[in-house]
Amino acid sequence: MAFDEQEFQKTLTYLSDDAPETVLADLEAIRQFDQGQEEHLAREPGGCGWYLLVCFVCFIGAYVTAIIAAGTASSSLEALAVMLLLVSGAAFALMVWNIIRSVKFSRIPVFDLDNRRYELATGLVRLAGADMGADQPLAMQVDFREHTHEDHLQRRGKVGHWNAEFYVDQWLQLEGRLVDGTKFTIRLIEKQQERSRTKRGASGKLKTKEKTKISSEAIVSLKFKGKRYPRAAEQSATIEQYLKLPQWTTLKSVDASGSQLTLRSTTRASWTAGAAEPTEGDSTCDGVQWVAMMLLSLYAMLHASK
Amino acid sequence: MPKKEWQPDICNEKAGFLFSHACDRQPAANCGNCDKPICKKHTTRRRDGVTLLCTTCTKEAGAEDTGRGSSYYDDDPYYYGSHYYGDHYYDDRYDRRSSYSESRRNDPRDFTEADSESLVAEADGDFENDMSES
Ligand SMILES: [Zn+2]
Ligand SMILES: [Zn+2]
Repeated sequence: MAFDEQEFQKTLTYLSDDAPETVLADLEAIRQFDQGQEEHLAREPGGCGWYLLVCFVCFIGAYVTAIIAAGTASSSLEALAVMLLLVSGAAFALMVWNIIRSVKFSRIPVFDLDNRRYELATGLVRLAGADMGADQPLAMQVDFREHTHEDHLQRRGKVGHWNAEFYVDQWLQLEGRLVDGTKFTIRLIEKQQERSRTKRGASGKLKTKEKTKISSEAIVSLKFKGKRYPRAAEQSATIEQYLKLPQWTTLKSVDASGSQLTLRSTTRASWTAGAAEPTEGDSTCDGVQWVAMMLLSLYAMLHASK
Repeated sequence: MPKKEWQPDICNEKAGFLFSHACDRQPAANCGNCDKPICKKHTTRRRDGVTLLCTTCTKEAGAEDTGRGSSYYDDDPYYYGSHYYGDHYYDDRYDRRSSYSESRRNDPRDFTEADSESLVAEADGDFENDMSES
């Protein structure tokens, strides 16, 4: 089914069970939609402060000039007063017009999506698609709602003196089958702690401090065909030797049981995906590369298990 | 070098991301070097902007000719594997018929619900208990 923008605006969640090519086309439609939203945001009408100032100053100017003109009976001062009054009126009209535009603007819902989500999803579909049949379905779910959406709230608690809210947002899930018969699942989770604390400062005023801690986790699972990789049980004892992950990530666990491999890693680095903003040197933390290396690590073990 | 016999009407490139395997897409062109029929996905353009190359010939031509494969991270999935695994890229030679028919028979999502629940619900010890004040 083709991407339905109206439906997407309601749920902000993308769900699909289509061939990789179709999913890529849908993700492109989401990118276009988001760019449209970003352009719309950039056109937000400016503040009305300047118009108000011009209106006020010219009005006072016109008033003062008119009094002086009346006292001196000068016709040129009278003309100046009229002009100032006209400028003041024009500024007032512009101010009102801008206020109307702002109200109209704020009535149109704007969804500024996190670009990383569709960029990473696109990168992963391209990777997986390279080893899938052209018409094999990909089960995909990408949740574009905010981390701090109430559905993601796990609990509230204390961290030292801080009040903390713990959010767990599993925002991406991708499942499919590769041509060697291996089933894969990729999950991306964003964990967030929203901390705040209120205390009385030296002056006696109450002050509230806030901060956010974010951690990302990627989970890659493979369920492979035992007969294709007969030595997998033997190799899984030393699976760690095959793991090669980006330096900015941390291995959390690797689990090999039967014909299933699960690799979990986390990072607190702020990674990017796709043609993101250019960064200097090699400091880019590429999210697609992260998941690619997880898949390649597990496959390195499978290749050694033949 | 004797010319290989290419199979018509199907992409003959075997490059994949995690392993090499037969491609089931329709050919869109022929490689300008080895004449292999190749699909769009397996096609890159030489620096001259005209010549089309298959993935295998692109890797052989190297970065100078095509701009591909020079950096570790290349956006193209077909080049990731060889960077990661080195030159001896794994060739599984999956037979087209057997592997595709086998994979079509099953639902891609037979990881059980329980599998996915347990993965997500499992607490992240490090982060959840990060009680550091910093
Ligand atoms: Zn070629
Ligand atoms: Zn192909």
